[in-house]
Amino acid sequence: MTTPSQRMVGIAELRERAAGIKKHVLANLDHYLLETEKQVTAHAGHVVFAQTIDEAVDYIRALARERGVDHLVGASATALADEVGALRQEIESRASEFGSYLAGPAAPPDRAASFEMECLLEAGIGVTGASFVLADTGAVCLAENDDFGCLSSAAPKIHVVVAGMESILPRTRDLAVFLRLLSDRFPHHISLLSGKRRDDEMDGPDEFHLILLDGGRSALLADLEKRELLQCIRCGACLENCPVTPAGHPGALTQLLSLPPLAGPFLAASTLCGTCREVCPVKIDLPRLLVALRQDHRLARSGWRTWLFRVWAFLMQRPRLYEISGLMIRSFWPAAWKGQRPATKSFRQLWRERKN
Amino acid sequence: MSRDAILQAVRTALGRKPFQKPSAGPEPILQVHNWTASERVEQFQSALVAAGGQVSRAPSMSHVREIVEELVAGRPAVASLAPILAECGITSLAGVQSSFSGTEALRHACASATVGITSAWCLLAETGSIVLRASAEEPRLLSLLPPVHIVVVPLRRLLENADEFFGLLPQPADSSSATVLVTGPGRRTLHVILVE
Repeated sequence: MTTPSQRMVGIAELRERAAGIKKHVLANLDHYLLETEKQVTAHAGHVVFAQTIDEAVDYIRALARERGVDHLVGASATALADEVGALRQEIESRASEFGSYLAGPAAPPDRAASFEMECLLEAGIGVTGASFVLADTGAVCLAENDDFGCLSSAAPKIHVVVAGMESILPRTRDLAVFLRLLSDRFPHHISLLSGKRRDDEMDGPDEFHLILLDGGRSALLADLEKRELLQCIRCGACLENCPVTPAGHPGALTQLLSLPPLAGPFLAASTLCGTCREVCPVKIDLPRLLVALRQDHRLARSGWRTWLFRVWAFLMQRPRLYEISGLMIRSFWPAAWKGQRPATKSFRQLWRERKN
Repeated sequence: MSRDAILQAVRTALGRKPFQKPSAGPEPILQVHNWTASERVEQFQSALVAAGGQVSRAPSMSHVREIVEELVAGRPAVASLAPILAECGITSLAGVQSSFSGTEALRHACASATVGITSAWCLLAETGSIVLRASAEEPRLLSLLPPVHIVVVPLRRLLENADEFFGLLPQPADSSSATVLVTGPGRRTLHVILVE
Protein backbone atom coordinates (compact mmCIF):
# COMPACT_ATOMS: atom_id res chain seq x y z
CA MET A 1 0.00 0.00 0.00
CA THR A 2 1.23 3.48 -0.79
CA THR A 3 1.48 5.86 2.10
CA PRO A 4 0.29 9.38 1.32
CA SER A 5 3.72 10.93 1.63
CA GLN A 6 5.38 8.50 -0.73
CA ARG A 7 6.46 9.91 -4.08
CA MET A 8 6.24 7.69 -7.09
CA VAL A 9 8.95 9.66 -8.77
CA GLY A 10 11.91 11.00 -6.84
CA ILE A 11 12.47 14.71 -6.46
CA ALA A 12 15.66 14.39 -8.52
CA GLU A 13 13.72 13.15 -11.53
CA LEU A 14 11.14 15.92 -11.15
CA ARG A 15 13.91 18.52 -11.11
CA GLU A 16 15.50 16.98 -14.15
CA ARG A 17 12.17 17.19 -15.98
CA ALA A 18 11.49 20.74 -14.83
CA ALA A 19 14.91 21.87 -16.01
CA GLY A 20 14.29 20.09 -19.32
CA ILE A 21 10.96 21.85 -19.83
CA LYS A 22 12.45 25.27 -19.02
CA LYS A 23 15.42 24.68 -21.36
CA HIS A 24 13.00 23.67 -24.10
CA VAL A 25 10.91 26.83 -23.67
CA LEU A 26 13.97 29.08 -23.72
CA ALA A 27 15.35 27.37 -26.82
CA ASN A 28 12.04 27.98 -28.64
CA LEU A 29 10.97 31.18 -26.91
CA ASP A 30 9.94 33.04 -30.08
CA HIS A 31 7.49 30.23 -30.89
CA TYR A 32 6.00 30.24 -27.38
CA LEU A 33 5.68 34.03 -27.33
CA LEU A 34 3.63 33.89 -30.53
CA GLU A 35 1.59 30.92 -29.25
CA THR A 36 0.81 32.81 -26.03
CA GLU A 37 -0.21 35.87 -28.02
CA LYS A 38 -2.50 33.76 -30.20
CA GLN A 39 -4.19 32.07 -27.24
CA VAL A 40 -4.66 35.22 -25.17
CA THR A 41 -6.22 36.94 -28.17
CA ALA A 42 -8.48 33.92 -28.69
CA HIS A 43 -9.81 34.48 -25.16
CA ALA A 44 -10.55 38.14 -25.91
CA GLY A 45 -7.46 39.41 -24.10
CA HIS A 46 -4.77 41.82 -25.25
CA VAL A 47 -1.05 41.09 -25.43
CA VAL A 48 1.49 43.88 -25.21
CA PHE A 49 5.25 43.48 -25.55
CA ALA A 50 7.32 45.86 -23.44
CA GLN A 51 11.04 46.34 -23.81
CA THR A 52 11.47 47.86 -20.35
CA ILE A 53 9.43 48.06 -17.16
CA ASP A 54 8.98 51.79 -17.88
CA GLU A 55 7.25 50.89 -21.11
CA ALA A 56 4.95 48.59 -19.15
CA VAL A 57 4.19 51.27 -16.58
CA ASP A 58 3.53 53.78 -19.39
CA TYR A 59 1.05 51.34 -20.91
CA ILE A 60 -0.78 50.96 -17.60
CA ARG A 61 -0.80 54.73 -17.12
CA ALA A 62 -2.20 55.32 -20.62
CA LEU A 63 -4.82 52.61 -20.08
CA ALA A 64 -5.91 54.22 -16.81
CA ARG A 65 -6.19 57.61 -18.48
CA GLU A 66 -8.13 56.23 -21.44
CA ARG A 67 -10.62 54.35 -19.26
CA GLY A 68 -10.92 57.19 -16.73
CA VAL A 69 -9.57 55.04 -13.87
CA ASP A 70 -8.25 56.81 -10.76
CA HIS A 71 -7.53 53.87 -8.48
CA LEU A 72 -5.39 50.85 -9.00
CA VAL A 73 -4.69 47.85 -6.83
CA GLY A 74 -1.79 45.59 -7.38
CA ALA A 75 0.01 42.53 -6.25
CA SER A 76 3.38 41.59 -7.56
CA ALA A 77 5.00 38.32 -8.32
CA THR A 78 8.66 38.03 -7.60
CA ALA A 79 8.81 36.55 -11.09
CA LEU A 80 9.51 40.15 -12.00
CA ALA A 81 12.86 40.29 -10.21
CA ASP A 82 13.68 43.86 -9.26
CA GLU A 83 11.22 45.36 -11.70
CA VAL A 84 8.54 45.23 -9.02
CA GLY A 85 9.76 48.54 -7.60
CA ALA A 86 8.69 50.59 -10.61
CA LEU A 87 5.24 48.97 -10.67
CA ARG A 88 4.78 49.50 -6.96
CA GLN A 89 5.74 53.15 -7.27
CA GLU A 90 3.24 53.79 -10.02
CA ILE A 91 0.42 52.10 -8.12
CA GLU A 92 1.22 53.67 -4.77
CA SER A 93 1.44 57.11 -6.41
CA ARG A 94 -2.30 56.71 -6.97
CA ALA A 95 -3.01 56.27 -3.30
CA SER A 96 -3.87 52.65 -3.88
CA GLU A 97 -2.72 49.53 -2.18
CA PHE A 98 -0.05 47.17 -3.20
CA GLY A 99 0.60 43.78 -1.71
CA SER A 100 3.49 41.68 -2.82
CA TYR A 101 3.96 38.00 -2.72
CA LEU A 102 6.59 35.40 -3.17
CA ALA A 103 5.54 31.88 -3.99
CA GLY A 104 8.47 30.22 -2.30
CA PRO A 105 9.44 29.94 1.32
CA ALA A 106 11.24 33.28 1.60
CA ALA A 107 8.17 35.52 1.68
CA PRO A 108 9.23 39.04 2.65
CA PRO A 109 8.00 39.99 6.13
CA ASP A 110 7.31 43.63 5.27
CA ARG A 111 4.37 43.25 2.89
CA ALA A 112 1.08 44.94 3.48
CA ALA A 113 -0.96 43.14 6.12
CA SER A 114 -4.25 43.38 4.36
CA PHE A 115 -6.18 44.91 1.54
CA GLU A 116 -8.75 47.50 2.40
CA MET A 117 -12.10 46.34 1.07
CA GLU A 118 -13.17 49.81 -0.11
CA CYS A 119 -9.89 50.29 -1.90
CA LEU A 120 -10.36 47.00 -3.68
CA LEU A 121 -13.94 47.69 -4.74
CA GLU A 122 -13.07 51.21 -5.91
CA ALA A 123 -10.14 50.16 -8.03
CA GLY A 124 -10.69 50.23 -11.77
CA ILE A 125 -7.53 48.35 -12.65
CA GLY A 126 -5.91 45.43 -10.88
CA VAL A 127 -2.27 44.84 -11.70
CA THR A 128 -0.65 41.51 -10.92
CA GLY A 129 2.45 39.62 -11.84
CA ALA A 130 2.38 35.99 -12.90
CA SER A 131 4.36 33.02 -11.69
CA PHE A 132 3.83 31.26 -14.98
CA VAL A 133 2.28 32.03 -18.35
CA LEU A 134 0.68 29.02 -20.01
CA ALA A 135 1.11 29.06 -23.77
CA ASP A 136 -1.55 26.41 -24.53
CA THR A 137 -4.48 28.47 -23.24
CA GLY A 138 -3.01 31.94 -22.86
CA ALA A 139 -3.69 31.72 -19.13
CA VAL A 140 -1.53 33.15 -16.40
CA CYS A 141 -0.83 31.24 -13.21
CA LEU A 142 -0.56 33.21 -9.99
CA ALA A 143 0.91 31.13 -7.18
CA GLU A 144 0.70 33.18 -4.01
CA ASN A 145 0.73 32.67 -0.28
CA ASP A 146 -2.08 35.17 0.26
CA ASP A 147 -4.97 36.20 -1.98
CA PHE A 148 -3.97 39.71 -3.07
CA GLY A 149 -3.32 38.69 -6.64
CA CYS A 150 -6.54 36.69 -6.90
CA LEU A 151 -8.54 39.60 -5.43
CA SER A 152 -6.81 42.14 -7.68
CA SER A 153 -7.77 40.07 -10.70
CA ALA A 154 -11.38 39.35 -9.65
CA ALA A 155 -12.78 42.64 -8.39
CA PRO A 156 -11.58 45.43 -10.76
CA LYS A 157 -13.04 45.80 -14.27
CA ILE A 158 -9.61 45.58 -15.87
CA HIS A 159 -6.92 43.01 -15.07
CA VAL A 160 -3.39 43.80 -16.20
CA VAL A 161 -0.71 41.12 -15.85
CA VAL A 162 2.96 41.97 -16.11
CA ALA A 163 5.05 38.88 -16.75
CA GLY A 164 8.66 38.31 -17.66
CA MET A 165 8.70 36.55 -21.01
CA GLU A 166 10.81 33.70 -19.64
CA SER A 167 7.95 32.62 -17.36
CA ILE A 168 6.11 30.81 -20.18
CA LEU A 169 5.37 27.09 -19.84
CA PRO A 170 4.18 25.15 -22.91
CA ARG A 171 1.17 23.39 -21.34
CA THR A 172 -1.10 23.85 -18.35
CA ARG A 173 -0.30 20.35 -17.14
CA ASP A 174 3.39 21.28 -16.86
CA LEU A 175 2.23 22.87 -13.62
CA ALA A 176 1.93 19.39 -12.15
CA VAL A 177 5.72 19.32 -12.11
CA PHE A 178 6.39 22.96 -11.24
CA LEU A 179 3.84 23.32 -8.45
CA ARG A 180 5.48 20.43 -6.61
CA LEU A 181 8.85 22.13 -6.89
CA LEU A 182 7.81 25.69 -6.09
CA SER A 183 7.70 25.07 -2.37
CA ASP A 184 7.29 22.26 0.15
CA ARG A 185 3.60 22.94 0.50
CA PHE A 186 1.12 24.18 -2.05
CA PRO A 187 0.90 27.98 -2.13
CA HIS A 188 -2.38 29.22 -0.60
CA HIS A 189 -3.92 30.49 -3.84
CA ILE A 190 -3.01 29.07 -7.22
CA SER A 191 -5.08 30.93 -9.82
CA LEU A 192 -5.28 30.07 -13.50
CA LEU A 193 -6.69 33.16 -15.17
CA SER A 194 -7.42 33.55 -18.85
CA GLY A 195 -8.87 36.40 -20.85
CA LYS A 196 -11.86 38.49 -19.96
CA ARG A 197 -14.77 36.97 -18.11
CA ARG A 198 -16.91 34.67 -20.22
CA ASP A 199 -20.31 35.99 -21.29
CA ASP A 200 -22.27 33.91 -18.78
CA GLU A 201 -19.99 34.54 -15.79
CA MET A 202 -21.28 37.03 -13.23
CA ASP A 203 -17.99 38.60 -12.16
CA GLY A 204 -14.37 38.84 -13.19
CA PRO A 205 -12.62 41.42 -15.35
CA ASP A 206 -14.17 42.91 -18.51
CA GLU A 207 -10.71 43.40 -19.95
CA PHE A 208 -7.53 41.33 -19.73
CA HIS A 209 -4.14 42.73 -20.70
CA LEU A 210 -0.98 40.66 -20.63
CA ILE A 211 2.24 42.65 -20.78
CA LEU A 212 5.15 40.42 -21.77
CA LEU A 213 8.30 42.05 -20.52
CA ASP A 214 11.73 41.78 -22.10
CA GLY A 215 13.68 43.93 -19.64
CA GLY A 216 17.09 42.53 -20.57
CA ARG A 217 15.88 38.96 -21.00
CA SER A 218 16.55 38.76 -24.74
CA ALA A 219 20.11 39.96 -24.11
CA LEU A 220 20.54 37.29 -21.43
CA LEU A 221 19.15 34.72 -23.88
CA ALA A 222 21.90 35.65 -26.35
CA ASP A 223 24.55 35.13 -23.66
CA LEU A 224 25.09 31.37 -23.91
CA GLU A 225 27.08 31.29 -20.70
CA LYS A 226 24.34 32.93 -18.61
CA ARG A 227 21.17 31.91 -20.49
CA GLU A 228 20.61 29.30 -17.79
CA LEU A 229 19.63 32.09 -15.39
CA LEU A 230 16.36 32.49 -17.31
CA GLN A 231 15.31 29.03 -16.12
CA CYS A 232 14.74 30.59 -12.71
CA ILE A 233 11.15 30.24 -11.44
CA ARG A 234 11.74 32.67 -8.54
CA CYS A 235 10.94 30.10 -5.87
CA GLY A 236 13.47 31.59 -3.47
CA ALA A 237 14.96 28.26 -2.40
CA CYS A 238 18.53 29.40 -3.14
CA LEU A 239 18.12 32.61 -1.14
CA GLU A 240 16.52 30.73 1.74
CA ASN A 241 19.42 28.29 1.97
CA CYS A 242 22.32 30.62 1.19
CA PRO A 243 24.65 30.99 4.18
CA VAL A 244 25.81 34.46 3.11
CA THR A 245 22.55 36.02 1.91
CA PRO A 246 20.55 37.22 4.93
CA ALA A 247 16.78 37.10 4.37
CA GLY A 248 15.47 40.27 2.78
CA HIS A 249 18.92 41.75 2.21
CA PRO A 250 21.07 41.98 -0.88
CA GLY A 251 23.68 39.30 -1.15
CA ALA A 252 25.72 37.46 -3.74
CA LEU A 253 22.67 35.59 -5.04
CA THR A 254 20.33 38.57 -5.22
CA GLN A 255 22.88 40.31 -7.41
CA LEU A 256 23.09 37.29 -9.66
CA LEU A 257 19.30 36.96 -9.91
CA SER A 258 18.78 40.60 -10.89
CA LEU A 259 18.00 41.35 -14.49
CA PRO A 260 20.54 41.93 -15.88
CA PRO A 261 22.81 40.23 -13.31
CA LEU A 262 24.81 42.87 -11.47
CA ALA A 263 28.46 42.69 -10.74
CA GLY A 264 28.97 44.37 -7.41
CA PRO A 265 30.65 44.19 -4.04
CA PHE A 266 28.42 41.38 -2.71
CA LEU A 267 29.44 39.09 -5.52
CA ALA A 268 32.69 38.39 -3.71
CA ALA A 269 30.76 37.40 -0.58
CA SER A 270 29.80 33.96 -1.85
CA THR A 271 31.94 31.08 -0.66
CA LEU A 272 30.77 29.05 -3.66
CA CYS A 273 29.65 26.34 -1.24
CA GLY A 274 27.15 25.05 -3.80
CA THR A 275 24.10 24.80 -1.54
CA CYS A 276 22.09 26.92 -3.98
CA ARG A 277 22.85 24.53 -6.83
CA GLU A 278 21.74 21.59 -4.73
CA VAL A 279 18.39 23.09 -3.75
CA CYS A 280 17.55 24.69 -7.12
CA PRO A 281 14.43 22.97 -8.50
CA VAL A 282 15.39 23.78 -12.08
CA LYS A 283 19.03 22.81 -11.63
CA ILE A 284 20.65 26.17 -12.32
CA ASP A 285 24.40 25.97 -11.77
CA LEU A 286 24.53 29.13 -9.67
CA PRO A 287 28.15 28.77 -8.45
CA ARG A 288 29.37 28.53 -12.04
CA LEU A 289 27.39 31.66 -12.91
CA LEU A 290 28.78 33.47 -9.88
CA VAL A 291 32.30 32.71 -11.06
CA ALA A 292 31.42 33.82 -14.59
CA LEU A 293 30.04 37.08 -13.27
CA ARG A 294 33.12 37.60 -11.11
CA GLN A 295 35.22 37.15 -14.21
CA ASP A 296 33.22 39.83 -16.05
CA HIS A 297 33.66 42.05 -13.05
CA ARG A 298 37.41 41.42 -12.95
CA LEU A 299 37.81 42.18 -16.66
CA ALA A 300 35.98 45.42 -16.22
CA ARG A 301 38.36 46.44 -13.47
CA SER A 302 42.01 47.45 -13.83
CA GLY A 303 44.67 49.36 -11.88
CA TRP A 304 47.07 48.50 -9.11
CA ARG A 305 45.03 45.60 -7.71
CA THR A 306 45.10 43.73 -11.00
CA TRP A 307 48.89 44.18 -11.13
CA LEU A 308 49.33 43.15 -7.53
CA PHE A 309 47.49 39.89 -8.17
CA ARG A 310 49.48 39.26 -11.35
CA VAL A 311 52.74 39.58 -9.43
CA TRP A 312 51.29 37.34 -6.70
CA ALA A 313 50.26 34.71 -9.26
CA PHE A 314 53.70 34.85 -10.88
CA LEU A 315 55.41 34.20 -7.53
CA MET A 316 52.96 31.52 -6.41
CA GLN A 317 53.82 29.46 -9.45
CA ARG A 318 57.56 29.55 -8.65
CA PRO A 319 58.18 28.07 -5.16
CA ARG A 320 61.89 29.01 -5.00
CA LEU A 321 61.23 32.61 -5.97
CA TYR A 322 58.31 32.70 -3.56
CA GLU A 323 60.47 31.55 -0.68
CA ILE A 324 63.19 34.04 -1.48
CA SER A 325 60.73 36.94 -1.69
CA GLY A 326 59.27 35.86 1.68
CA LEU A 327 62.75 35.84 3.17
CA MET A 328 63.44 39.29 1.78
CA ILE A 329 60.18 40.72 3.09
CA ARG A 330 60.97 39.35 6.58
CA SER A 331 64.54 40.69 6.60
CA PHE A 332 63.76 44.12 5.20
CA TRP A 333 60.57 44.72 7.21
CA PRO A 334 60.83 48.29 8.60
CA ALA A 335 61.19 48.19 12.39
CA ALA A 336 58.67 51.03 12.64
CA TRP A 337 55.83 48.73 11.41
CA LYS A 338 55.90 46.73 14.64
CA GLY A 339 52.25 45.84 14.82
CA GLN A 340 52.09 43.99 11.51
CA ARG A 341 55.46 42.23 11.69
CA PRO A 342 55.40 38.92 9.77
CA ALA A 343 56.18 35.67 11.55
CA THR A 344 59.89 35.04 11.99
CA LYS A 345 59.72 31.73 10.18
CA SER A 346 57.64 30.92 7.13
CA PHE A 347 55.22 27.99 7.07
CA ARG A 348 57.48 26.09 4.73
CA GLN A 349 60.44 26.53 7.11
CA LEU A 350 58.40 25.26 10.05
CA TRP A 351 57.17 22.32 8.02
CA ARG A 352 60.71 21.27 7.12
CA GLU A 353 61.88 21.57 10.74
CA ARG A 354 59.00 19.46 12.09
CA LYS A 355 59.50 16.77 9.49
CA ASN A 356 63.15 16.25 10.51
CA MET B 1 7.11 48.59 -32.37
CA SER B 2 8.36 46.74 -29.31
CA ARG B 3 6.65 43.52 -30.31
CA ASP B 4 8.60 42.98 -33.52
CA ALA B 5 11.84 44.27 -32.02
CA ILE B 6 11.57 41.84 -29.09
CA LEU B 7 10.63 38.87 -31.28
CA GLN B 8 13.53 39.71 -33.58
CA ALA B 9 15.95 40.00 -30.67
CA VAL B 10 14.80 36.62 -29.33
CA ARG B 11 15.16 34.95 -32.74
CA THR B 12 18.62 36.43 -33.22
CA ALA B 13 19.66 35.25 -29.76
CA LEU B 14 18.44 31.73 -30.52
CA GLY B 15 19.46 31.63 -34.18
CA ARG B 16 15.91 30.75 -35.24
CA LYS B 17 13.98 31.83 -38.34
CA PRO B 18 10.52 33.44 -38.22
CA PHE B 19 7.79 30.79 -37.76
CA GLN B 20 10.30 27.99 -37.43
CA LYS B 21 8.64 24.98 -35.78
CA PRO B 22 9.68 24.30 -32.16
CA SER B 23 11.91 21.37 -31.32
CA ALA B 24 10.35 18.42 -29.47
CA GLY B 25 10.18 19.07 -25.73
CA PRO B 26 9.83 16.84 -22.68
CA GLU B 27 6.35 15.97 -21.34
CA PRO B 28 5.50 16.69 -17.69
CA ILE B 29 5.29 13.82 -15.22
CA LEU B 30 1.78 13.25 -13.86
CA GLN B 31 1.74 11.14 -10.68
CA VAL B 32 -1.25 9.50 -9.06
CA HIS B 33 -1.22 7.27 -6.00
CA ASN B 34 -4.25 5.06 -6.76
CA TRP B 35 -5.69 5.55 -3.30
CA THR B 36 -8.94 3.91 -2.26
CA ALA B 37 -11.96 6.11 -1.56
CA SER B 38 -11.45 5.94 2.19
CA GLU B 39 -7.72 6.73 1.90
CA ARG B 40 -8.61 9.81 -0.11
CA VAL B 41 -11.08 11.05 2.48
CA GLU B 42 -8.62 10.41 5.28
CA GLN B 43 -5.81 12.21 3.45
CA PHE B 44 -8.02 15.14 2.48
CA GLN B 45 -9.20 15.59 6.05
CA SER B 46 -5.74 15.49 7.57
CA ALA B 47 -4.22 17.76 4.91
CA LEU B 48 -6.95 20.38 5.20
CA VAL B 49 -6.90 20.34 9.00
CA ALA B 50 -3.10 20.66 8.93
CA ALA B 51 -3.51 23.71 6.68
CA GLY B 52 -5.92 25.25 9.20
CA GLY B 53 -9.29 24.39 7.62
CA GLN B 54 -12.22 22.48 9.05
CA VAL B 55 -13.97 19.43 7.61
CA SER B 56 -17.41 18.01 8.32
CA ARG B 57 -18.92 14.89 6.84
CA ALA B 58 -22.62 14.85 6.11
CA PRO B 59 -24.25 11.43 5.70
CA SER B 60 -27.02 12.94 3.61
CA MET B 61 -28.25 16.13 1.95
CA SER B 62 -30.59 16.97 4.81
CA HIS B 63 -27.71 16.93 7.28
CA VAL B 64 -25.87 19.50 5.17
CA ARG B 65 -28.63 22.02 5.72
CA GLU B 66 -28.35 21.58 9.50
CA ILE B 67 -24.57 21.92 9.51
CA VAL B 68 -24.67 25.03 7.33
CA GLU B 69 -27.43 26.59 9.42
CA GLU B 70 -25.33 26.08 12.53
CA LEU B 71 -22.19 27.52 10.90
CA VAL B 72 -23.98 30.56 9.48
CA ALA B 73 -25.58 31.22 12.87
CA GLY B 74 -27.86 33.93 11.58
CA ARG B 75 -25.06 36.01 10.07
CA PRO B 76 -25.61 37.56 6.63
CA ALA B 77 -24.65 35.02 3.97
CA VAL B 78 -24.38 34.77 0.20
CA ALA B 79 -24.63 31.48 -1.68
CA SER B 80 -23.89 30.43 -5.24
CA LEU B 81 -26.39 28.91 -7.66
CA ALA B 82 -24.65 25.52 -7.64
CA PRO B 83 -27.33 22.80 -7.98
CA ILE B 84 -26.10 20.95 -4.88
CA LEU B 85 -26.76 23.99 -2.66
CA ALA B 86 -30.36 24.22 -3.91
CA GLU B 87 -30.81 20.45 -3.48
CA CYS B 88 -29.62 20.68 0.12
CA GLY B 89 -32.05 23.53 0.72
CA ILE B 90 -29.32 26.00 1.60
CA THR B 91 -30.47 28.71 -0.80
CA SER B 92 -33.83 28.78 1.00
CA LEU B 93 -32.31 29.33 4.46
CA ALA B 94 -33.25 32.61 6.12
CA GLY B 95 -30.64 35.34 5.61
CA VAL B 96 -28.97 33.58 2.69
CA GLN B 97 -28.97 35.55 -0.55
CA SER B 98 -28.32 33.60 -3.72
CA SER B 99 -29.70 35.57 -6.61
CA PHE B 100 -28.22 38.85 -7.70
CA SER B 101 -29.61 41.31 -10.20
CA GLY B 102 -26.22 42.13 -11.69
CA THR B 103 -22.51 42.39 -11.12
CA GLU B 104 -22.78 45.52 -8.97
CA ALA B 105 -25.43 43.93 -6.76
CA LEU B 106 -23.26 40.83 -6.43
CA ARG B 107 -20.19 42.87 -5.44
CA HIS B 108 -22.17 44.80 -2.90
CA ALA B 109 -23.75 41.69 -1.40
CA CYS B 110 -20.40 39.87 -1.17
CA ALA B 111 -18.67 42.87 0.38
CA SER B 112 -21.24 43.11 3.16
CA ALA B 113 -21.82 39.38 3.80
CA THR B 114 -20.01 37.48 6.55
CA VAL B 115 -20.38 34.03 5.03
CA GLY B 116 -19.94 32.89 1.43
CA ILE B 117 -21.31 29.45 0.54
CA THR B 118 -20.22 27.73 -2.66
CA SER B 119 -19.63 24.32 -4.11
CA ALA B 120 -16.32 23.33 -5.70
CA TRP B 121 -15.41 21.77 -9.01
CA CYS B 122 -13.37 19.18 -7.17
CA LEU B 123 -11.21 18.60 -4.09
CA LEU B 124 -7.59 17.47 -4.02
CA ALA B 125 -6.85 14.91 -1.29
CA GLU B 126 -3.05 15.08 -1.28
CA THR B 127 -2.88 18.78 -0.45
CA GLY B 128 -6.32 19.34 1.06
CA SER B 129 -7.12 21.87 -1.68
CA ILE B 130 -10.45 22.98 -3.09
CA VAL B 131 -10.69 23.77 -6.78
CA LEU B 132 -13.07 26.61 -7.65
CA ARG B 133 -14.01 27.46 -11.21
CA ALA B 134 -15.83 30.63 -12.25
CA SER B 135 -19.07 29.87 -14.09
CA ALA B 136 -22.62 31.13 -14.51
CA GLU B 137 -23.48 29.38 -11.21
CA GLU B 138 -20.29 30.15 -9.30
CA PRO B 139 -19.20 33.81 -9.15
CA ARG B 140 -15.63 34.33 -7.90
CA LEU B 141 -16.29 36.99 -5.30
CA LEU B 142 -18.42 34.65 -3.13
CA SER B 143 -15.29 32.86 -1.99
CA LEU B 144 -13.02 35.91 -1.94
CA LEU B 145 -14.80 38.71 -0.12
CA PRO B 146 -16.70 37.23 2.89
CA PRO B 147 -14.46 36.34 5.86
CA VAL B 148 -16.04 32.89 6.21
CA HIS B 149 -16.14 30.41 3.32
CA ILE B 150 -18.26 27.26 3.43
CA VAL B 151 -17.82 24.71 0.65
CA VAL B 152 -20.32 21.93 0.04
CA VAL B 153 -19.02 19.14 -2.19
CA PRO B 154 -20.22 15.60 -2.95
CA LEU B 155 -17.66 12.93 -2.06
CA ARG B 156 -17.39 11.69 -5.65
CA ARG B 157 -15.71 15.02 -6.49
CA LEU B 158 -12.69 14.12 -4.36
CA LEU B 159 -9.63 13.66 -6.58
CA GLU B 160 -6.17 12.59 -5.47
CA ASN B 161 -4.07 15.57 -6.45
CA ALA B 162 -3.45 18.34 -8.95
CA ASP B 163 -1.89 15.81 -11.32
CA GLU B 164 -5.18 13.90 -11.53
CA PHE B 165 -7.01 17.20 -12.03
CA PHE B 166 -4.74 18.27 -14.90
CA GLY B 167 -5.14 14.79 -16.37
CA LEU B 168 -8.94 15.10 -16.31
CA LEU B 169 -9.03 18.70 -17.46
CA PRO B 170 -5.82 19.46 -19.36
CA GLN B 171 -6.87 23.00 -20.30
CA PRO B 172 -9.05 24.34 -17.50
CA ALA B 173 -8.56 27.95 -18.64
CA ASP B 174 -10.35 27.30 -21.94
CA SER B 175 -13.79 26.84 -20.43
CA SER B 176 -13.58 29.25 -17.50
CA SER B 177 -11.86 32.58 -16.99
CA ALA B 178 -10.70 31.59 -13.50
CA THR B 179 -9.72 28.25 -12.01
CA VAL B 180 -8.38 28.62 -8.48
CA LEU B 181 -6.77 25.98 -6.27
CA VAL B 182 -7.25 27.13 -2.69
CA THR B 183 -5.18 25.40 -0.01
CA GLY B 184 -6.00 26.33 3.55
CA PRO B 185 -8.05 29.22 4.91
CA GLY B 186 -5.51 32.05 4.57
CA ARG B 187 -7.02 35.01 6.38
CA ARG B 188 -10.50 33.51 6.12
CA THR B 189 -12.27 30.71 7.93
CA LEU B 190 -12.66 27.72 5.63
CA HIS B 191 -15.15 24.96 6.26
CA VAL B 192 -15.58 22.06 3.85
CA ILE B 193 -18.64 19.80 4.06
CA LEU B 194 -18.28 16.45 2.35
CA VAL B 195 -21.62 14.98 1.28
CA GLU B 196 -21.82 11.18 1.01
